[in-house]
Amino acid sequence: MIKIQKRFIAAVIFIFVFLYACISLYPLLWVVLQSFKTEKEFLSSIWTFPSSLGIKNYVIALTKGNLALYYKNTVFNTLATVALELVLVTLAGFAFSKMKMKFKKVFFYLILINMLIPTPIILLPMYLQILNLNIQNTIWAIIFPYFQGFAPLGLILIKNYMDNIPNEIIEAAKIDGCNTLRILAGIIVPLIKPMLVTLAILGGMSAWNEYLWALVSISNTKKYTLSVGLAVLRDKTSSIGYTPVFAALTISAMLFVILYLVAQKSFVRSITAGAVKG
Amino acid sequence: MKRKVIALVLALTMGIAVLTGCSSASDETKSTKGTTGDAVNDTTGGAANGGTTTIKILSAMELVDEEMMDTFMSENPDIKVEYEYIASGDYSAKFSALAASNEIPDVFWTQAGYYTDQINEGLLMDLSKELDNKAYEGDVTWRDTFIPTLLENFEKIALAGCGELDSYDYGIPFTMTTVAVMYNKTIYNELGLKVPTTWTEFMSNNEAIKNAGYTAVSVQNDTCIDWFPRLFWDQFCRDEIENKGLSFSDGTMTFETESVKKGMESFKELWDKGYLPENFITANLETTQQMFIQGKLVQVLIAPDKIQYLMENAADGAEYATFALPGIAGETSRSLGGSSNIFAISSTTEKPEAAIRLLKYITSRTNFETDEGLQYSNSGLVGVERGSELDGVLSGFADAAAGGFCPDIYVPTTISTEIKTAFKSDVIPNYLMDVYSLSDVSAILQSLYNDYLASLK
Amino acid sequence: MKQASNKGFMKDIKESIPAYLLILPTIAAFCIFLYIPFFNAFRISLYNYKGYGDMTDFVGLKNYITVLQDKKFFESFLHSFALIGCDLIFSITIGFLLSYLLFKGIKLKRFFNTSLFIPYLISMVVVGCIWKIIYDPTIGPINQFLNLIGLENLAQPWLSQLPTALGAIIITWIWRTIPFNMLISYANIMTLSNEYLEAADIDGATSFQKLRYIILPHMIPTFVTLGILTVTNDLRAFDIVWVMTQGGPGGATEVITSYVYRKAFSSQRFGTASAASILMMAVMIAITIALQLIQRKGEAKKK
Repeated sequence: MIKIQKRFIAAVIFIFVFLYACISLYPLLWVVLQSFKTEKEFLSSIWTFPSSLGIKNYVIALTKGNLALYYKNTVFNTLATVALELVLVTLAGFAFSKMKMKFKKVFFYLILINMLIPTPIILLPMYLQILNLNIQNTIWAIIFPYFQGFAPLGLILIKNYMDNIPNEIIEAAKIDGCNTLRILAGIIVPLIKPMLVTLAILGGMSAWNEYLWALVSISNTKKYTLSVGLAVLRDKTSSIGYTPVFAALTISAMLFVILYLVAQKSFVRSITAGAVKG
Repeated sequence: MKRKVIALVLALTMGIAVLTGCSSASDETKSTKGTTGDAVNDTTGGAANGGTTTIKILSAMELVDEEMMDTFMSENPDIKVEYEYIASGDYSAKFSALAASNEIPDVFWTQAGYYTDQINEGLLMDLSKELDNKAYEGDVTWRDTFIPTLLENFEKIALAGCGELDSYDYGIPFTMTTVAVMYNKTIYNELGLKVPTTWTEFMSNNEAIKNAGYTAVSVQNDTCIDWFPRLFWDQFCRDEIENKGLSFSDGTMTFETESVKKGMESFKELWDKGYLPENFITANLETTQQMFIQGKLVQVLIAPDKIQYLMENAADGAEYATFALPGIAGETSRSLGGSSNIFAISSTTEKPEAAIRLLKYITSRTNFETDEGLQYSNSGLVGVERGSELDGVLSGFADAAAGGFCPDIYVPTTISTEIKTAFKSDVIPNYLMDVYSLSDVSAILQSLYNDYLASLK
Repeated sequence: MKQASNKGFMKDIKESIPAYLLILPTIAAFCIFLYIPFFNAFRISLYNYKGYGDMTDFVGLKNYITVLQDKKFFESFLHSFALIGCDLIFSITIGFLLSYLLFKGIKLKRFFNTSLFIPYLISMVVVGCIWKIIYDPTIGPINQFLNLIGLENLAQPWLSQLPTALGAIIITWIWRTIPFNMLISYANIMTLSNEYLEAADIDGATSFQKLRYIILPHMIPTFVTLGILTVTNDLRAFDIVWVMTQGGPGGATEVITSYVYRKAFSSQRFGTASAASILMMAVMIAITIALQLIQRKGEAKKK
């Protein structure tokens, strides 16, 4: 009797989660579906299936929208941003979590305060700063502002994660004569790998999709990012139509879906491995 | 295999991380300089190549596109155009950044609200001498190629927004923008309706369409939400402004004036009677186009640059046509628009000749006859007509233009970006949704306008 | 005595040098790309500034007064707090429950693990565009579905009327933030040592008891972190709102960031926009300090 009841509850839960998963998946699938349609099919009803799986829209998006170039730029920007973020956040996270630091709280809040500043207001002053430094249209004008935006979140997450690492491990290493950097690279980094993967995904996602700053700061069309290119494409629908835009959106979204699928496996594995060890 | 790929990706990321990390603090400045150096080399290198002049253009109008620039460059090999397009919704953010850094492109798009600000800030080049020189082709002066009213509009805009000036030629009109109603002829026939020639007929058509279960009328998108009241004011206030000489700037007319209120009330009537779509306040171009093509919306007030898409994607068997919106007060019906797409040259440009040549080109007969994207637009040039096969469909736009244009700044809701924003995003929605009463509307607009007048002094 | 403490102070500083070196790059980046620009934003807030041209029209605190007299400013504040409140309650709860279910084991776990995270992988702009169509009164699926099952009178212009617009935006926002909370909860649930759970199993604890007495206490620090992240992230909510309604209809969905953006870039009142941001920051800092004080008092009482 209890068994049946349990099974029943499990089934109900399963159905709920399944429905929720459908709601989660639906918008992305919808975009992918539209990207294969002809313009007329899309306009006449947005709920039907495409009549064929032509790649015409993808060709239009790539040629007229210049997306291949923007894709390359965005990959480059994102990789550089993630690299910078991971390194700096790991260094700072370790200092905040495990090291003796006078005025620790003051510095911590100095970084966190960024989370309270509404982004639009800092846009113009930050742009002027980029010009002062004469780094407009360079990678530096992208990665540092992105790092600055991501650092508070990254720092909180990584600090909390490091707080769980027992201090004894570090003390032991110190006694063995390891210096701080050795401890970080040799002991800490392997332990926090799951968190680093998470941070890479989160930081990568936000760099990949960021729009306002890229729009304002990049004035060289050859250095446009995908999000800016997409906005331009979206505004040109009167001449090229909407379905190529959906193709472009699909292209833009797919990389992270695939990366997540790939990373997730190793991510889950390393979490479980960490848990057993810990 | 998969595992290896993952490992590789991760290793790569980590690798880069370690590499950059080791030197991150000390190398920041060094590498920064390196890249800037490259950037400088890029630009000088470009200019040195065969003595070409490089100019930048910023367009927020879809019709001025990269292909047009390519044609221009092939006709003028000594000029290289760097083209940048910006969604019109982002224009303000982008332009602010460029202006704040003194990096305004040589040639750029603008429109009434920004235009007067830009004149006031001294950002625009005075084109009056150039307009008296030769046009891009033929033996006429540039000024004479434009339909005269279009250039006269500039004077009115500048007078309203900047006061008296020595010159009013700070921009040139690109195309003559008109606004007309596009309607679904198939549904019109099905319901036995006739193209309305008076406001009463228009309203009774709306009633019939609504009763048949369709949405009667809308505007192309939410940024054009002020079109109806502006068209109504052009009718109701014409006598007072143009014949009696009353004006907002000297206070003989205010937002309390009966005719101004009447314009708002008539707009509200359309809404209250249920002729406008439910999502009128937030509907963007995409939704409106879908509703129209799916036959759910029967009439839409639209500008010609949005027509091509509807025509090319018309539902099978559906027939579309256009008519000019009848005047609500029985005055001659005038269209919105006219010189609403302005191109101007930066006052600080270092290459004025190339910039002017580009402007002359985009307003030339050659451009309008060769560029495919322009086939639906009205050139705004004397003697340059579009192909006659489109005349039938587009006759409504011709009729709308025949009545002339209501000035861009009339009842001054368009005089500054601040009033324009407040009118479209606060006053109209809240008035339609019964949050604001008519007297609230008048009070809010009047106080914003008073602030504006005070800021001029 | 004083000397001694001074010595101690110097010693503390000296011992902190390695830590300072590690945070130096971050702090340097913040100085250049945040503090200086922010100081300039503060300067702008004292001027009547259009965003370009010379900044000469010094107006003192007038912009602050303008903002404080603006009803819309307080409304946008309220909307932001409504968003934060709903997000705190629903997003974190649902995110945790989903991660718990995944942790406990469910059929098709791999599929769920991926599909549930998908909303977070799509950019805000895209999310906004799609949901805008979903809510559309004529061509959107919600109303088409309601019409299909004969509930025409429940069909609404969701985003275009006062009673439902903000709610509709909040739902979209929650939909988008759940995966993040789920991911972080999941990562932290996984760090829970299996020994505890096995020991509980031996003692014959039910799932609910395990959840109540082992997992939830383990998760409290995570919830606090997620709470902080939610508050700060939601305060900066912009893209979805801007794409879906631009703060409309008539300001019904105006949040603090869209208010600032509109003031700065649509109305070209940079001074007022900067003043509004700084006021908002001041309020948030005050709230943070108040929360800290309360927390400290609570802890003191416990002891």
